[in-house]
Amino acid sequence: MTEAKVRAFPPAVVNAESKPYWDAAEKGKLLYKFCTACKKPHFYPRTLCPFCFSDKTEWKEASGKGVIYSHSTMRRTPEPYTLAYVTLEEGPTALTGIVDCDPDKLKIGQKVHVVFKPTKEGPPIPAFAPD
Amino acid sequence: MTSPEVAKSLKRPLVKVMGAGEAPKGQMGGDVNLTYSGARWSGPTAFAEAGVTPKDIKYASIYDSFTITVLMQIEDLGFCEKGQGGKFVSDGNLISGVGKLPFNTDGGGLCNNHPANRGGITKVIEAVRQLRGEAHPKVQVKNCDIALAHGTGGSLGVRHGSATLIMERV
Ligand SMILES: [Zn+2]
Repeated sequence: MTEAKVRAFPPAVVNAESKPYWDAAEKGKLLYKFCTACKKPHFYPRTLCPFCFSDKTEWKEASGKGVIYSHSTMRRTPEPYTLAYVTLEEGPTALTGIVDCDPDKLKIGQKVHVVFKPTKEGPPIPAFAPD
Repeated sequence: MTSPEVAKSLKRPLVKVMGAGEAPKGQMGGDVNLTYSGARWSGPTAFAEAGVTPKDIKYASIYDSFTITVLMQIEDLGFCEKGQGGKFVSDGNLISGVGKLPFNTDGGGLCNNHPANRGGITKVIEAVRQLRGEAHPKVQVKNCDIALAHGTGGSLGVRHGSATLIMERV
C-alpha cells in the first residue's frame, strides 16, 4: 500500500465565531450548526444561518460519519495530500482532507469517519479517514 | 470605454454593452454541488437585460482556466443541455467557420494569454475585436453582430464569482 507521506496541517485561525468549534476539536468532537428558524443544518459553522440569515443558530455534535462526495489528490508536492468534500451523516457537505489512506483507492461514495490531526500551534484539525 | 458622444467622434467601429450579470457561488452552507458554476445565475441576468437568447450569440469568449471550466460554463450559459458540453465541443461547435459557437479565437487562456488575474479582460478584448471585424481573418466570424464574454474568478470548487457580458456592434 502506497500511503501518502503525512503533510502537516497549518494551525487554524481561531476567532470568536469559531472558538466553540475548535474547543470541541480539542476534545475530539466535530461540531456543525443548526438553524432553529429554518430548521436547516449547515457547515462550515456560522453565527448567521447561510440560508435564511437568522441568528438563531445552535451548535450540534456530528456523529463524525460521512461519505466522500468528491476528492482530489495533489501529487506535485513533496508530501502529496488529498482534499475532499465529505457529506456528513447530518446532511451538510464539508470541505476537508482525507488522511491515513491510499489515495489511489479512494472512491466517491466511500464511507469515512472523522479523525483529529494535531497542529504545531493551535487546536487539532478535523479530517476524515476511510472506515 | 467612453461615453456615446466621445465614442462617435473616435471614428472607430462602435460596440455597446447590451446586458451584464454577476453572481458569486460558494460552499452554500454545505449544500455543495460541483456540477454547475455561478454562470447558471449570471447568464440569465445578462440575457434578460440584453433581450436576447443563447441562439443569438455569434461569438463567445469564455474563460478557460481549465477545459472543464469551459464545458461547465457552456452548459450553464444555455448553449447546450446540461451534461452535453463534451459532445457539443467534440462536434466542433467551438471552431470558427465550422460550429454554432465560435469561441476564444485569440487562443484563449489555455493557448494564448492569461495575464495573471486579468484573464477576464482578454475575453472582452477578443469579443470586441470580433464585433469590430478586427479579429484575425482566419477566425473572423461573418456578420458578428452580438457577442458574449464570460469570466470566472476564484476557485470553481470552493468559492468563485461569475460575470457575463453581452455586447453588440452598433
Ligand atoms: Zn436558517
